[in-house]
Amino acid sequence: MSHPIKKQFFRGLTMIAAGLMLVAPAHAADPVRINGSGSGLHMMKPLIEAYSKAHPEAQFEMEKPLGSSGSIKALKAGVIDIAVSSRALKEDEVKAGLTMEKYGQTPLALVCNQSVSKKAVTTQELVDIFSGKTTNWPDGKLIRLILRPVEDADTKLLRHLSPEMDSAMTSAQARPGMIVAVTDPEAIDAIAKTPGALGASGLTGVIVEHLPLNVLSLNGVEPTPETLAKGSFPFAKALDIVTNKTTLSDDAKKFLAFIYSLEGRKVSAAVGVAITAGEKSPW
Amino acid sequence: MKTQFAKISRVTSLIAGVIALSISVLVPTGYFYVSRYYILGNMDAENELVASSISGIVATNPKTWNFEEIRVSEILHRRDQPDVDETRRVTDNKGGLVAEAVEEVPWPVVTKTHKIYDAGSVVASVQLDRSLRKVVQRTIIVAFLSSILGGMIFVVLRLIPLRAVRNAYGALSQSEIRYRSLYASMREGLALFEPVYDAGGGIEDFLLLDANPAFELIIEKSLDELIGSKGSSLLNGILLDYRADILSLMSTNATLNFEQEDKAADRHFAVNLFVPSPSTFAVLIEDITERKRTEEQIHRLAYYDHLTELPNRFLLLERLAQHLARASREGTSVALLFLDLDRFKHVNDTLGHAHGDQLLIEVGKRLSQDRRKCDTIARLGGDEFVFLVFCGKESEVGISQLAEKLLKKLSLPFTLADRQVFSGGSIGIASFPSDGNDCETLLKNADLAMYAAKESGRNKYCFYTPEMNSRAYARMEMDAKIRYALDHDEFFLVFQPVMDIISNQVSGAECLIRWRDSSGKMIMPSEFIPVAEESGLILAIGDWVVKEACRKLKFWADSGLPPVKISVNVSARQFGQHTFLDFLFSVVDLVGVDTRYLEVELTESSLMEDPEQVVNVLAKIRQRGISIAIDDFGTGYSSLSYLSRFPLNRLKVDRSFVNDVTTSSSDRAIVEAIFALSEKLGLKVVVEGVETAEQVAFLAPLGCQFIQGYYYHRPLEEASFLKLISAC
Repeated sequence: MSHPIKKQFFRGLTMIAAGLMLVAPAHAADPVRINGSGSGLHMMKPLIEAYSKAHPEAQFEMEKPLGSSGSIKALKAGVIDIAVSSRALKEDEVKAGLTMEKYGQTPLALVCNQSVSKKAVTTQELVDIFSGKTTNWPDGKLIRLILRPVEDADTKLLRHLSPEMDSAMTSAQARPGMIVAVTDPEAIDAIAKTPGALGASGLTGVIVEHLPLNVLSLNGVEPTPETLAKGSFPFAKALDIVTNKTTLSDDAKKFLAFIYSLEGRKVSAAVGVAITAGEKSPW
Repeated sequence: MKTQFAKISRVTSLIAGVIALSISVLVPTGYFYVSRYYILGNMDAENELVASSISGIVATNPKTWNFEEIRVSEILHRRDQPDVDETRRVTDNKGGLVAEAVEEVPWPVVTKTHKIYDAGSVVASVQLDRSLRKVVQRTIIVAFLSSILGGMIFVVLRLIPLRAVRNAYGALSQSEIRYRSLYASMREGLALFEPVYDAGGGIEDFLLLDANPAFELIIEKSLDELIGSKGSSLLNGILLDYRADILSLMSTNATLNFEQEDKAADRHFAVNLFVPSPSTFAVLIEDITERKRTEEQIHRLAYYDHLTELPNRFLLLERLAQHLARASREGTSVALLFLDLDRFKHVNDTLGHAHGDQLLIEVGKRLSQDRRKCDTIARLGGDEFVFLVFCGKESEVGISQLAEKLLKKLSLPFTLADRQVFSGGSIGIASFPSDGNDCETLLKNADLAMYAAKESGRNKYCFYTPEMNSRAYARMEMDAKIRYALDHDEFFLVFQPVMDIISNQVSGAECLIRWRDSSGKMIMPSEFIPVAEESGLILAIGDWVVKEACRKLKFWADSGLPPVKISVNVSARQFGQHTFLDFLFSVVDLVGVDTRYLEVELTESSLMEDPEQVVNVLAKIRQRGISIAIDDFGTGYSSLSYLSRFPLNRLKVDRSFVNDVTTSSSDRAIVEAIFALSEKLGLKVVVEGVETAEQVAFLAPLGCQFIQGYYYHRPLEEASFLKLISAC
């Protein structure tokens, strides 16, 4: 089920890369290889577009998201240059020479299929839905949960909402026949295409992909960078930059300088990112 | 038996042990093998599924698929059997770990790997570790349960058959004890023999192997002596006669029963031969000597007269039937000589039954002399004998000669009680086929002929003629008429006065019976008394006379007539009835007779049959005041010693001495002797049959006071007699 979603997502990335290549000089440098969490790549998409306008020679390679851990592994292995991670580095990763710079965070929004008329949800309602107690929307449609993997950061975030939610999530994970979307793009794609679907996705994905989704407020709080910044919205997905400075290419450094720049920050804020990086750019 | 049981026990235990061990080992082993095989199969299937899923990831992201940890990890964590502890691990070609789903997998662990392909090239492998601990635990439980089951099966397979075998052996043992006990206690002798074969395959002799106590008793040898002894040395070798039969039995397994006499020992045996085993035969032997003797005795009692030891009526009829059948087949004849002694009753009456029996024995012996083997002499009963002659072609003349010969034998005197007794006999002859075709007819006709011979005079023989049947019928008719007369008061009494010649008065009278039938015809006693004696009606007639005489006495007394003594004749047969006294006294009491005027007249033979007993009977009669007279005195046999002891009143001298008293010196002497005897014994004398004045003239000087006879009065009917006594 996730396959068409991936195809669509990466078809777009490939086109961006191809367009950039058309305007690139004959001595084109190596592409900057970027990967990371789904939300991170969603954030990177408008940033690459903006950077590429100013630097048409720049080349980027961004495969489908490997997730925070996968991309860090890939970075460690030298397969990519920049990883957008939602988690902190582990000790062995730091020892391997990796460094992480804070950049921003995006709310983990609860979204449903556009056919669902519901606009808001409470913690208790979420508990009832995930535990299986509530199986239908108020209009009678079946509630189809789109889960994320057990070890995924999004799953862990939802668990932290309350102890009841933690139990309800365990129950939902254990129920047979559940739809599991591995990445953010796959998740929002599945939610958009599945009638009565309910899931979670970084806000960047919702904004970037322009899919027919309803973003639900939680306990009356809309998932926005502002509510996130104020701390009224509970779910935040970190979007930090991990690199190996010893092997980082100049092109990559230039690109990173762009995203930390005021312009870059504006582009990111436009796709639902609350910037957490300091005013001084590390690049 | 114990050895066999131990052997069966060992074999059963071995089989049960093998089966139990097989169950105890094979079931858990099988369970483990199947379970492990299932798990490995399951792991293969899971690996293949995981590998297939990961191949999809590789195909869509061949460069960096190995960093898609979350995606791969999700595949590894998604499992159908979350309760099964297992570890899944995906490694790339370089051995780098791509993702894993780790759980604690306890020892023992089985591992299965599966390659992951991308466009036909191996890019990675998935490894699945799973613990067999639960299988091992379950196998241990199964092994435990199987051991219990095996143990139970061992117990069942061993104990049940052994218990059954033990019970069977127990029952067999009990049965053997019972049969051994039976064997030892049985009345019949039982011995087991082994044949000794001769060169030709025949049985030469046989050896005794075992015998029971009864056999020891029968053979009169101890078991030690018997065992090993030869059949020829037992029971005078009587069993050797059955060697051929025994040989046959040995091959057919049949049984043989026979009775065998050991003539040397005068013993009889019932023998049963049977074959208990192929090489032996058994002899069941019973000493039936006593039974044989008893049977012979029973046979003699049933078919022979115990007194004369001659064949009895049954045997006679049996042989007669055989002779008749043979005569019918051969066209010959059979003669039946029915013989009746002429004076047997007289002998019995005078000499007593013991001598009568002796006479019958002697007659039987005489008749048996010179008897042909094919002839039969039988005693039918009483003094009746039958000589059964198978005549062949003999003529009637031959039978006549035989009858004459027999009569001649009987006419010779018999010596009984040192006396010469003459009996003689009468013979009636009936022949087959002329006088009857069956036993009963022939016997009846011979009987009729015998009566005819008797009527025609003693010591005669007579052939049967059809007219005899008519006479017999007449006798039967007479018998019926007597009964009718008794029931319809056709009998009446007449009274012959006894004169006291001194007072010339009637001193009494003798009652005599007369019969006027319904047509008014007078029938004299000589016509009906013999028939009545023959049929037994004489007893009823005698009783009627006693009752009627008493009634008359009572009636006369009540009528005021002068008292007169009347005497009643009591036959020997009537007097011999043990109920006679009771009858007489009951009649006297019932009627209320003055017994001083009643006298009973008895014959000498009546008194002499059992004189000791008669003394008592007569005493009782006298105690009741009834007088006793001896009738026909002098014609019978009287013991003078008893005569003196009998409480008599009178002697009545028989008319046979009076008829010729005036002309016969011997008769005169007898009469004189009687008077002398009476005077000495204090008895009065009545002389009967006096018909002439000469007789009276002779008797008067002898002191004769009482005379009875036609000279004075014939028997008078009641009215005339009453008129006579009223006139006195």
